Amino acid sequence: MAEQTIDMQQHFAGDGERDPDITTVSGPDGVFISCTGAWVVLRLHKVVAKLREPSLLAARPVAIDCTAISSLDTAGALLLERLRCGYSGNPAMRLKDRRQQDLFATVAPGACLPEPLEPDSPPPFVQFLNTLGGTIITQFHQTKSLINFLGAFLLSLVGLLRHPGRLRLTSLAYHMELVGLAAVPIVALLSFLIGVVVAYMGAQQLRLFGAEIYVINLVEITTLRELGVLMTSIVVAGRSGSAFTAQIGAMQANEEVDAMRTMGLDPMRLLVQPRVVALILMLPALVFLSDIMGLLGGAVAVKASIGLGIDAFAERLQASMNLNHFYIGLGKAPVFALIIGVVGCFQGFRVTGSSDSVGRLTTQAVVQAIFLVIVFDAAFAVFFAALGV
Amino acid sequence: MDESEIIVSLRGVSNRFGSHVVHENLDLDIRRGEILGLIGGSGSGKSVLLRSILWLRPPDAGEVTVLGTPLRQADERAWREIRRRWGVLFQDGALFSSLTVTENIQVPLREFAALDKRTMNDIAALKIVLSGLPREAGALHPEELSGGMRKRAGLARALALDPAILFLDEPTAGLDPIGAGSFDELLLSLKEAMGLTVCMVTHDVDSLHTVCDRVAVLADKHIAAIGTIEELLQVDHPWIKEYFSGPRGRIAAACHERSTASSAPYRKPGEQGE
Ligand SMILES: Nc1ncnc2c1ncn2[C@@H]1O[C@H](COP(=O)(O)OP(=O)(O)OP(=O)(O)O)[C@@H](O)[C@H]1O
Ligand SMILES: [Mg+2]
Repeated sequence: MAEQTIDMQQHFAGDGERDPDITTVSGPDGVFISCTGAWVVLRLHKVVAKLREPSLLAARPVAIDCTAISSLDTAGALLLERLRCGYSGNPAMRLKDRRQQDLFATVAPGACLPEPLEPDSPPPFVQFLNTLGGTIITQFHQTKSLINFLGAFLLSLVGLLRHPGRLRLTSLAYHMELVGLAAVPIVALLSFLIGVVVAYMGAQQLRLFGAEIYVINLVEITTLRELGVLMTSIVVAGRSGSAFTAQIGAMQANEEVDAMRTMGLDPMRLLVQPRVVALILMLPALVFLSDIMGLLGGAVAVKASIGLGIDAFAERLQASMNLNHFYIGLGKAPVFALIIGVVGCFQGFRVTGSSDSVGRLTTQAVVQAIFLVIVFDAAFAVFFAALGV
Repeated sequence: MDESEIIVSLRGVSNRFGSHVVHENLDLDIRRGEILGLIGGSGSGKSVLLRSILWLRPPDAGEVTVLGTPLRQADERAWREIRRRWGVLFQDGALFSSLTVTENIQVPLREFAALDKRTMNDIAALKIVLSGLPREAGALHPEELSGGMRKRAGLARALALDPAILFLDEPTAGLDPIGAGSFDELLLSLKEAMGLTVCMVTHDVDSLHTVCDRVAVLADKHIAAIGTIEELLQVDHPWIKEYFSGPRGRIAAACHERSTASSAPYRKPGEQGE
């Protein structure tokens, strides 16, 4: 290890040394290239442009002289070796010491390989068609496997109905608390505010026709039939759908799901059932809460804007109330819960190896769940309108 | 070798988690140009010590000096200097999962060196070949690599700036014996060519014999012994005796004796055709 006595200062970035430089020099036995300064990775940007100058590349040197280089590392050696390969006539490398020889021997094997060719990129229009086609095919496959997953889940539910004892009660209770109880404050507050907004804006518009009193019916229909369930579903998709994807995704990335399978444990029963069933049970409860809070918000706003007291509000509501709105709103909740839960779990199982995909799929789960909830809501609206309820 | 050239030194380092004392008054020196192996039983605090040296978990007491800079007093500038001069290979590579191998290697280059795209690609390709990966691996994402390949890719990233010191946490754990052997050879040839100093935590007795110049034993909350393997064999400490004279230790020693008797010069890097 006698060669290892390198001056400490020299090995490191070459502080206090000159920048790398390269010049062609005509000597008695031909042109040679002289390199000076510190050829270390942090300084190389000073010389990269010079290395590509046509005058340098056009030279026909007999040798590249590295003896004046004050410090050298693998990156510097790589650039010099590549320069040497570029010349015809195989110029010699003049080296200072054993260390430089070692460095060049280290970088030489890969240095002169041609750069891998980038495939020609097709014209933009073709690229566009490519992307479009690719997206459609991926979407198609994803939809197919989502429906597959939904089917598998429903089948497992049927199995559950036959053997109810198999349901993981502890796990179910835990998820019901997370999904339902923990969401109470946010759902209540949001619904109350939405009720306030609807009543306030409605009263303002209806006053133009002198029909302020109908604001009560407006609040009733919008909150009970549409906004209550829709807002709650969106909040729950953001809170719980994303959590399902992240939890299952992390387990998938960590090979925990595979471990369960090898032990003969069914992830569908252990991971999906408690989550989705908890959601199906809790979302209607949250929607009920949201309805109450929405009406309350409406009542408060009505009192503030048209001066009708809370008990008068309740009286009118009772007189004109069509309970169908309430039932329809509440009836949509389990369907939306199924959508949110199944999409959340499905995306979680799509995680592969990298932890990177957990984040991406979580976002996707939320967007997809909200999208599907709104699509189904529209379908319900058309359906019930056709039925005339 | 000039023995006085100390590149990392620890003085009076203590670490505790609550009432659980992991290190107490621990001293350690790493000399320039050596490969130092750090061994010790599971839970003896090797990983914690490594994290202390890297200042990821500053020690509760004591001083760590790296490249002449006491870390406790280091300012922003000194830290930048130190961080570009050391390379770290974490146990599972710790590659950035959203980037390809090439981009992973270019992360430190981008941060510290003002180079153009083409030169950075060249440098990344060089480090990929140096660390014994096939050239095509550069375009792959970490999830598409095997455990051993991830380790090599992590090494390639650690070598991006030609560091002065390399810290390795169990570099050969989880590699097949042939892969582990070629990793050892790779370390030796890189040490020769780049003048590296290496500090590695390892459980691999073969690695200790083939690559380590000195071995430090972490036991009883401090460095119980440090020296060449021959020197350690003379030490009267129950754990060390058990370690080297247990069945695995004896087999490794016997193999090493046989191979050094007919030892061939180390292959140059880049020739590790597996
Ligand atoms: N974050 C932490 N909180 C509490 N205790 C910890 C923490 N990290 C480590 N320890 C404790 O410190 C001790 C040393 O742990 P360390 O991970 O350094 O062991 P090791 O020597 O690397 O073992 P191995 O060979 O198994 O990797 C252990 O007893 C461990 O319980
Ligand atoms: Mg450890």
